[in-house]
Amino acid sequence: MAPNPFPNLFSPISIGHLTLRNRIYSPPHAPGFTDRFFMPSERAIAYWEAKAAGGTAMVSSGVTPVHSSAIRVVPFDNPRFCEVYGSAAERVRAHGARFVVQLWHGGAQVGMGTRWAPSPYATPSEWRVAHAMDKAEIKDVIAAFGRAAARVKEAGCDVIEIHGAHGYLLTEFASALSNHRDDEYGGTLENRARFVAEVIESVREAVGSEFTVGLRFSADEFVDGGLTIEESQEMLARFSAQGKLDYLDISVGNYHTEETIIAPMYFPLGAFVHVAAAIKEVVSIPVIAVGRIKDPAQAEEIVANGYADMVALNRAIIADPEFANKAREGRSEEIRWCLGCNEACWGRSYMGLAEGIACVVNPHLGFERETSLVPAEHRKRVVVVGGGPAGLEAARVAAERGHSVSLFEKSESLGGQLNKAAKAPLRVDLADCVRYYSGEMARLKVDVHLGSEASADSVLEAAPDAVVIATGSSPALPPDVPGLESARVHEVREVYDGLEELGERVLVLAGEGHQQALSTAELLADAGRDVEVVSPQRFCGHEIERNTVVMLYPRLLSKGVRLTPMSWVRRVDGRSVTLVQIYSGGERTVEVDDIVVAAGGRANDGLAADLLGRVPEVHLIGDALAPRRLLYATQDGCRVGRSL
Amino acid sequence: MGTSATEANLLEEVALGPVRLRNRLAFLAPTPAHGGTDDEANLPTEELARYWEAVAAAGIGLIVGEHQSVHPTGTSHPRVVESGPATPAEPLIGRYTKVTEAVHRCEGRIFAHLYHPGLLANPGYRLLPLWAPSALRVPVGAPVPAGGGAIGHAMSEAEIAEVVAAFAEAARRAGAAGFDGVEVDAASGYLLAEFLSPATNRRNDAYGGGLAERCRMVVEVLAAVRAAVGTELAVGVRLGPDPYVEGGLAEDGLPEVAAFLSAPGGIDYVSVVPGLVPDAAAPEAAGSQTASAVARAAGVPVLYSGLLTDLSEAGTLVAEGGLAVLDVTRAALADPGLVTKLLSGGPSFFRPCVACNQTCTTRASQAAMAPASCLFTPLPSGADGAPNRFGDDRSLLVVGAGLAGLEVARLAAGAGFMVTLLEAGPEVGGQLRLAARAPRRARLGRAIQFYEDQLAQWGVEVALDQPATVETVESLDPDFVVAATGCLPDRPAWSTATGGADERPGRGASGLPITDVRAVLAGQATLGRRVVLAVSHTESGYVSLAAAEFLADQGHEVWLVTPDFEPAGMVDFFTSEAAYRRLLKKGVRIEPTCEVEGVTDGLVLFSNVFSGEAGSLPADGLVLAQGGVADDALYRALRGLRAGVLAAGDCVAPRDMEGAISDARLVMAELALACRSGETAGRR
Ligand SMILES: Cc1cc2nc3c(=O)[nH]c(=O)nc-3n(C[C@H](O)[C@H](O)[C@H](O)COP(=O)(O)O)c2cc1C
Ligand SMILES: Cc1cc2nc3c(=O)[nH]c(=O)nc-3n(C[C@H](O)[C@H](O)[C@H](O)COP(=O)(O)O)c2cc1C
Ligand code: SF4
Repeated sequence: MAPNPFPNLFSPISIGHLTLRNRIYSPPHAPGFTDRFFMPSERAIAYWEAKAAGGTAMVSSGVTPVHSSAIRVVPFDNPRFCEVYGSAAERVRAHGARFVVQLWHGGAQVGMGTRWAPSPYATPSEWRVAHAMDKAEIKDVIAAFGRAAARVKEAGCDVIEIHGAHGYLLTEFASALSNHRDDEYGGTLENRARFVAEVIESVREAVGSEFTVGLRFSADEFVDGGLTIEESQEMLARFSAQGKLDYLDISVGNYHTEETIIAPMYFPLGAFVHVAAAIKEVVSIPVIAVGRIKDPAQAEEIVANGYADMVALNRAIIADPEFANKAREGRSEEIRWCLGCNEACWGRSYMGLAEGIACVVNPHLGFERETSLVPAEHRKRVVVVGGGPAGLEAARVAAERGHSVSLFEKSESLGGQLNKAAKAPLRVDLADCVRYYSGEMARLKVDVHLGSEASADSVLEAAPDAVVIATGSSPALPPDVPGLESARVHEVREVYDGLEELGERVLVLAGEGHQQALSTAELLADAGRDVEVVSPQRFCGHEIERNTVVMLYPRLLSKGVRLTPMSWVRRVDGRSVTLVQIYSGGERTVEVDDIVVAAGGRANDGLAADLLGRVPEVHLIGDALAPRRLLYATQDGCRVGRSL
Repeated sequence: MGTSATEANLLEEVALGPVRLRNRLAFLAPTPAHGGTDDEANLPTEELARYWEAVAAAGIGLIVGEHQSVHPTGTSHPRVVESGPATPAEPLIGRYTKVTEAVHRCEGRIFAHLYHPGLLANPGYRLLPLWAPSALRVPVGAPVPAGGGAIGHAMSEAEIAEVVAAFAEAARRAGAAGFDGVEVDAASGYLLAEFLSPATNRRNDAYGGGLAERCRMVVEVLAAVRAAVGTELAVGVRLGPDPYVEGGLAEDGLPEVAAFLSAPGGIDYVSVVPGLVPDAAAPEAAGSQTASAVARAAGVPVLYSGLLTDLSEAGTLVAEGGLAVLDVTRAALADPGLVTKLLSGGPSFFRPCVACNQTCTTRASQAAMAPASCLFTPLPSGADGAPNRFGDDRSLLVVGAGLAGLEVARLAAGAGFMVTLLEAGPEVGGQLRLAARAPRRARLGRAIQFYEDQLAQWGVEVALDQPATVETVESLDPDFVVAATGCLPDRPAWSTATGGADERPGRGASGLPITDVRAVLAGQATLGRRVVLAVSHTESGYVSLAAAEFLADQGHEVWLVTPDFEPAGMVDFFTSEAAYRRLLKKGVRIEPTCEVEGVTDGLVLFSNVFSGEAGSLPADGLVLAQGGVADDALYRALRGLRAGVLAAGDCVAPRDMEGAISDARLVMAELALACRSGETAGRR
């Protein structure tokens, strides 16, 4: 085996009485794979197991409510708690990792009934005013943390992480932003720290001195009046000195600044490592850094420079549970990079608890067992037509399973629309997806033909056993707009190749509610155009994940882009475009030089029709099946790749 | 008090094809999601039999069960039941057999409800493409599930045949499980409706074009279902207008479709549902004329579903409207004793549905952690029914006759307490009474009427115009006190700094009148023509919409300034969609993602929450809707002085009706605990 390329990242570390095999932590996140009583299902356990098998040192459960004022059903009171969590811990340990349970109370931010918080206070996204807890209620919650902790130990899990971050109940007490009390739980820093200290105390008392207990903390809330690094240093130095904690997991933000908690690709890599480093300076227990850490070299540097003792890689490991193994074995270029798009992980987690997260680049997520790649019984000759993400994923899966795969791509490069999408301002992380697949095609010896447009005849010539049509979509104009042909109209994709052709005033018709329209609007604004976006939906960008859209809006608006929701185009006469407010019927005419349509295009499914019945198997995937997004392209590709 | 003639015919027997119903009242499962735990997400739960048994035991004539998805591409919720060929037949049939047996034991009838949501599918965890007649996005106005709304895949003829066969197999299983009938859903913008509608069906093959072509897939499904279940079971089709803002199949197109589909004599009934679930603003019996027109055209019995919250007139829908069966789901959720009470007479004690949609339609379909319930009648409704009189004549003082106080007073009186209710104002009802003054929200007033009847029935002593102080309470010295003192309107910092909003109705330092929503609804505000309504995040919902419409109806030019992406982001889809359709026609204009920051002469100043960019609107008045501050002074003072002090409603935390009702239930639980243990209650 090649020498360990990241010696610091892959050196063992002791936290509390545990020794971990390396410095990589998969931090708390709730994948949503639960039953109606918030108990993890088999899918959740298999998901955690995959991370352990991938070489991660420590794997955490997501938020787990300790008290009925947080969420009415408390998993710790479930008679099956020890059985389920115990088996999760065993299966994680079987792969050499340790299992963490995160104890949580949502405070004012998340809950199903009346929220409890130190003071009446409301936050995004639900803005429910909380009930100010009285002392009996405070005691009750502190005791509940202790009871929950005892259950975790009883179940045989390895570590407890107390959730003191992200603006939930503990942060709300610690922060002057949300704590306006004038009793012993509010006011001075010491008073604000009291609730957190008592929770730690209660947990420690319940589990004894041998059990590993850590605290997750938002050491900078990035809000006026909220926790700052200086205040957090003082508070955490005290907790560290009190000797009840074994480690600190240093995160940032609350729901007012949720974009810092799960930072979209607009943030630079490692944007918050300095916060952990500042805490590390003042404490004597191990410190974990988190936030947009996605590359093993970057992680190595954080540990080597002593900014933190461990690194938490949440989305990086969601995207690739094999991250640690690949890095350790010198196979970093095989890592399936997280794009920081937030689309399917965070984007799906607030849609409803029943949904469950996914990942745009990891189609196995949540179905680790069902979708594990089994060698093909018969080696087939597989032809994949189209080198966008759908075709690439199908080719990867088919080749990994032992099929002989050739891929035909019309253009001179792999990646399809992603190459354009990645050119929009601050969207360059999307190119990591293309980088990954290009590497995989080489590694798996897929026979890639660039600049080669397939026809029915050329496909038949290859005498394939199976053909996968992933020919994407082509520009299409919205139907039913009289006079559209009289204007200078372009489809979004055309803009990326011919920006200079566009005049001063550009109208973007956002038939879709996602990045095609808004990324392109920003690109146009950066190129000095005067841009208005028109969308029939209730607001522009309604399909974009919320941490992403709240960072996009300020940029768009300050670049002068006008957003016109609930509207569409009624008719066009050359440069004069009549818009209609959908609900009122009110019309308005604007003068523009060019119209850019972002509506998703028309499926290129002709080749599939031509081949049907002429080869043993034809499969249609990605935009060629129905123009959608990356998530669906990789899902289709993986599904079909497995079925061959 | 006897049952009126119009109610009497609701209770007569009726036949839907081969199936006789004991009465004309139907309950249609209000949420699509009845699937089980994650590992069994798409099987009916073990508890489902008990749920439907309770509905049947309450005397409902017909249950049309939860959605059953027939195909893996067709789920609108991750926990929907799947009953097509892709699902193993066992334990599906086994679980459903328990359901039908339970319903039959109670002499009820239950039909299976089969659907494929087409473009309204939720890609869910399978992340499959959306199957549709044409490669289009669903038109604006349909209830697109979170994460949905992509361009559909235009189904091939082979795929159409696959779905037709899937309907048939699901129907066969329904028959095997003992269902009494099958209802095929071709409404609500689901797949079959998309085939029927020219807005979504742009095909030019055998399945698109004229009426016969657009109906073809539905005809094939109905024929295949009939072939699968034989003639012992009733087979019906559910139809409705498209939910889209414009275009598509409208109300007046339905009779023709219904006539076409029922022509071969293959179906036993048609079920007619509205495009959008009617909310509080809709008129009683909304859409019943369409249903009657369908009944005339189709020549088979019609099940009407719309809005029936007051059954006193509903009999005329049968007698004059020619409708065979009436959907009373929400009325029965609000008052599970509905049929029993109808049978015994006495409509004044119905717990009325106010059509708020706040928990039955919304919450249940989103989180689906529990079956749908009414916010006024949370499940399990232990405090209702035959009350346990644990109060044992102890005295209980309720301070504040808003919703929380009224509910505590009602429940406590029923539980045997001697209840006194003090109200500072001249009437009971609190904020609910104001809310009921908004246009089209009058139905909320029926909730107040219900409490007035209940308080009289239970002999609660009500004292109006009686602001309570610590001294008042001490002089009455009750065993228990429940503070239900509500909340006061909150004000943004700038307005208190200038002293502006402190006068109510008042005039800011600048001379621009500033008032708040409550004063406006109470009719206490005098405002000029142009009004800015400044909404906070916490109020971006029912209150802001009601206030905007109230002002617009009074002839004001209204600008609604909200810090959110849209003014009704926290409101259920159906209420907000209907509200947008009305408000924008009435000229209300919206300034999203902005916050009001002050006023100067004749101008309201605001800034964009994202870009910080400043703006202003010329105005003659400013109305604040900035949420509430708990009025808990009395509660806190009493807690320091004596035992047995509890609190409920907005004085605990300013929230909504659901909060008030659920607090009242919590208070009852604490009182029960205290009485049983002989102590005086305190907060845990
Ligand atoms: C889907 C999802 C769910 C999350 N849930 C939790 C949680 O339950 N508890 C918690 O402390 N952090 C939670 N987080 C935050 C992550 O633990 C982590 O701090 C964040 O993703 C930033 O790390 P990354 O840049 O490596 O992804 C969640 C993040 C995601 C994407
Ligand atoms: C300008 C532009 C921006 C896009 N941005 C995104 C994006 O942010 N997320 C996403 O999932 N898809 C995005 N897409 C769409 C996907 O790139 C497209 O669905 C996918 O590449 C289709 O794969 P296939 O061609 O292999 O079928 C974008 C497309 C364009 C043209
Ligand atoms: S969905 Fe996007 S942000 Fe989330 S883990 Fe996958 S690639 Fe990363």
